[in-house]
Amino acid sequence: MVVDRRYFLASALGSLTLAGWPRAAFSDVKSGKILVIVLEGGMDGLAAVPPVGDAALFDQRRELVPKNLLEIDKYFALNPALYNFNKFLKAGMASIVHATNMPYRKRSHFEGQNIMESGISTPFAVKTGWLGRALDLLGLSGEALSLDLPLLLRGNRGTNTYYPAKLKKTFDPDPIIARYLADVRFGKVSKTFQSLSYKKNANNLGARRDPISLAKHAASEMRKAAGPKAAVVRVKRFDTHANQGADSGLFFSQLRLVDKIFETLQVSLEEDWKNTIVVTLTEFGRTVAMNGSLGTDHGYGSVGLLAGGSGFNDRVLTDWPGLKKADLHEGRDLMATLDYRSVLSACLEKSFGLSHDLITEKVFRDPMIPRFTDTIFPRT
Amino acid sequence: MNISLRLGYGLKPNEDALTITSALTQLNSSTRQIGVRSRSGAPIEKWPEELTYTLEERVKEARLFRSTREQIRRNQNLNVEQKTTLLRRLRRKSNLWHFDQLRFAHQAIFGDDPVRQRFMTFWWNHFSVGNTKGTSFYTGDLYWNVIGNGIQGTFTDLLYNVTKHPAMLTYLDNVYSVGENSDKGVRAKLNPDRKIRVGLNDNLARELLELHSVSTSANYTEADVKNTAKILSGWGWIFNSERVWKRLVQLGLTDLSEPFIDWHHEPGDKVVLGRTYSTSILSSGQENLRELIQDLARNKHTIRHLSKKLCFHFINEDPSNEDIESIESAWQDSNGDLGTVHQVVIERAFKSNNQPKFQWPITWMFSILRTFNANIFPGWEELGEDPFFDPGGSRVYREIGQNFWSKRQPDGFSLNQEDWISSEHMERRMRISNLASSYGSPSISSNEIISKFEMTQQTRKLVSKGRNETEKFTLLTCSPEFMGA
Repeated sequence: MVVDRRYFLASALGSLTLAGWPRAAFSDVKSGKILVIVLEGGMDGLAAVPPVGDAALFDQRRELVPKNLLEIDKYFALNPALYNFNKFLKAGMASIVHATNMPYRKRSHFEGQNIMESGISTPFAVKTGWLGRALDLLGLSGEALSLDLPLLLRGNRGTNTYYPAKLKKTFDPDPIIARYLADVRFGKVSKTFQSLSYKKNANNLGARRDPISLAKHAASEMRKAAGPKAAVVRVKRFDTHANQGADSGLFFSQLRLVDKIFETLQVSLEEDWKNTIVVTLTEFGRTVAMNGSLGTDHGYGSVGLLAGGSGFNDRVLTDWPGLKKADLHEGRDLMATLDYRSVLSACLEKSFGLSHDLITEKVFRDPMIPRFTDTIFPRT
Repeated sequence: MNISLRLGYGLKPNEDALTITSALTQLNSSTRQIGVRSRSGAPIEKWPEELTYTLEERVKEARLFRSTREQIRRNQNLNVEQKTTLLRRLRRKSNLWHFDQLRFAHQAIFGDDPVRQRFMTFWWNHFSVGNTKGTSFYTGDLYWNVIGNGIQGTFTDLLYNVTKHPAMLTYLDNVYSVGENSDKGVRAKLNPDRKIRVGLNDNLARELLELHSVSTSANYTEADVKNTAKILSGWGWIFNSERVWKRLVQLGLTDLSEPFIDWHHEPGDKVVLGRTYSTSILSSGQENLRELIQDLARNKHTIRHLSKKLCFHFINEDPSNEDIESIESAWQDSNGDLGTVHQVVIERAFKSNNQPKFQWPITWMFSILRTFNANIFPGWEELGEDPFFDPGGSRVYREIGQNFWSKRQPDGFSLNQEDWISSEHMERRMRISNLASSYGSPSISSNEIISKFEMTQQTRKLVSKGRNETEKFTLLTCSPEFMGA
């Protein structure tokens, strides 16, 4: 569905009337789960989901539009790398939000990444992430599939990282020694040692740690009753300034990795796929026009990919701004007509049952974020 | 203990405690390239000549690697498996940077100028170059030559020399940037059917402003970025392309120290941050980069941004205004003379030595190896044979999350301790610590270190819980005092 502007405004206004609702932490108790795939570098939404119904697309970037596109509707097509995602889309288990972004219009990776993870529109303003704060409200914990703990998941207790070591002939840390180190009590570091002191299945040395295997691990952990309720997987190298490719090449292979993560999660989560929402996150989109080196530079509006067994209302949700020069942000980038925080709020509301007001107040700290939950997800 | 972790890599058994004077002596000494031939051998005072490469040799190796790779890929007589095997062998053989990785570790563990290396590493991280498109062949030159010589000069010179270095021009895609109104651009317009590819690429321009100099606090506009990209157009070429190189040789354009192609440069005036950089009909526009960088280097936003960054790394993540301002004024008074700036950083670091300063994994690792007179890295003759760290220690760097030769972001490794505290990070510290004690042959015991450095009662109590030397070693090296937490 392409939302026309009047409809968009109506639903945006509709959310404001919610302000008077009681602020309960749990509007209805749910045990949903969220998995965020972070696409680092600024993912080109126009290459992932090309608006083939917009003639300007081909004028601006013919070489970057794949030939073997998968059809979604008359207006939008899907990059062939998203083969499995397309199956979900057809089965109503996926949705695309187009022409969207976090409220950030400058084009710095580092500010953009900070905003997408912190969820606060001033860069470097806080030291916690929106997902971490949401989990903290619920007293839950998450898991990051990386060596470091991403900002996105900071702000709650008990969130761990999983990224098995690859150092032949070295030994797993002794839990007793870790306990001694944890007992010293020197702030964050000792707390972290604490988690090593009770790692039961510590022998992960040499376990696979490619994004697919990590996603598989995340799924198996999340299936456990006391397991993490949220997880974050990172896919790097979306900063396609040069030789981006179309039907093959760097962008295609990175996007295919994302597609395989979606597939892996569906398979590995088994019946928990029904109450899990998988959502992508990127710092910005890229320029509409191709640059001089067969790539694209930093832009504004991009695309969000959502999947999950509980179903979605539409295959594509967008208030399409158009690709004509006059329609572009500063004459060069796809405009973002939909605040991605609305999408993320909807995912949190749907999964965790937190009320929209609580999410906007405590998680994103901006009460003006429109509510889109019922636009994206079917009413239950 | 604290100051030698803060400004150096711990203390070797025979080293005296660091003073402001000895730190300055190290900072201004010329680097001695110390390493070991084999893990068990004694240190040798010079890094071998045959493993020291000029920039020309590095670029030549990169071209050879790329053309051989193309030959293998295009060879129709080979099946997929044969190609994979040959490509893997090629990657192992083209190992120039594996020696760089090793040299970096050897210098840290055995060298007598750790303070100097710490400042070099700071700047190398500031001008971060990730491993893409052949940059790993060149990045060692950026470290040992450009930054090694540059930290005794002015920031203007350093910024200029880094910006026009093949590693940076390649990493941030400037080698592809061709002005639309350049000679090549005009030719492309006249011959549309020849499909000559021209256009600006603003990747380097954006990071030059945001990361390397003025930062976003300068509130520059998109037009500033675009005009910076215009000034940068023509700088660099695809350095590892044999085809491009042959053409440039014919034209006599082979100077890697000033890699500028004037027919790729966008002509005309360019305005950046309010100043116009103009080219006359007689000039190529090459001089505009130097002029721009001079202005950027002296901009007050640059000075503020870099003074803060030096504070974060060497003094405190929450530095006092006094710390920042004293570095800023040294910067201004000396016109960006890095020797003067670094001297003030060292003085301030000594003043704030009573507060803990969390250290990077790499700093921590080199410090424990140095302090305990241990080593886990192979000698240069053992490269490729070592069972643990093949090749060149890259595995160790990668496991602790600080491989300078990895595909990484242009903002470099974080200076924020939160990015280095996670259960997996602490797992790695315990693992490396265990490895250093069981495999690195330390010649000093934990108890000797405790009394040598007069460590706190808390640390003594912690270490006493260890039942054997390996456990004591892990407890000591992962203690708050050693981690700087």
